[in-house]
Amino acid sequence: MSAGDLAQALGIAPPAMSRRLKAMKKAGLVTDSHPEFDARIRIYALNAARLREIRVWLERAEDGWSRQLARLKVHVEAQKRSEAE
Amino acid sequence: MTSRVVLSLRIEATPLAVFEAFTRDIGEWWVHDDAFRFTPRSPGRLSFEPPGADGAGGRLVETLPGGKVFEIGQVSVWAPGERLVVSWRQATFGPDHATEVDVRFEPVGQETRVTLEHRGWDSVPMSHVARHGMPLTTFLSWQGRQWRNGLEHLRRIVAD
Repeated sequence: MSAGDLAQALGIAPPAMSRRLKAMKKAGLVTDSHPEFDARIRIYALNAARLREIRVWLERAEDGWSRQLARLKVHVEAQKRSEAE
Repeated sequence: MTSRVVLSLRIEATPLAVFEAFTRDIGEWWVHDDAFRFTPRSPGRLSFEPPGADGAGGRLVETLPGGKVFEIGQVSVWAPGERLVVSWRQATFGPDHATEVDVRFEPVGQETRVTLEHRGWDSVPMSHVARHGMPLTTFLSWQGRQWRNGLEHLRRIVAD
């Protein structure tokens, strides 16, 4: 998709869309290319592998933190009980 | 755009007691987890070094079995009973990949609600656009839809 098409589809002002695409490109989330018939047009494509990588990170971090926080809860509440005794 | 994990849970204790347990006792409650592997030689023991009296410094470190100390991150907010913010780096992160853990402690009746936010999985180059951003999950759901629509659109243009 072109930056203009994306901006329209998302209801975002074109300059803001361009900034976002630039940042996404830097982070490896999108790639861009020019169609053969017109070098002025830039077509963006999502980098599915990079997105998957981030999604895997997020899932692992969420699981990991929920285990750690559960441990913290047990630790604090056990401490409180032993103080009360 | 920024991506983050947000979790919250309630603990039966005051915010100050929970904050103290979180920081002072992290070596006791933290359990080794491959999702949070800090160095190739981990696991070691985690500990917080509180900031000095002037509020400067403060960090989270892992002491490896051989005695080596790895700095996981630096404390940027240390407000006992309220909030803790620390940067967070793991062994597998690239040189410019920084994340941050922000923990809030709020009283709810006799309990404390702990809200933990781990942000910045999409790395530092993204951070300057974070303020315009949407959560990654939202992004992922629109991207699938919009991209399909976009491809249809492109196909029509090319076909014409």
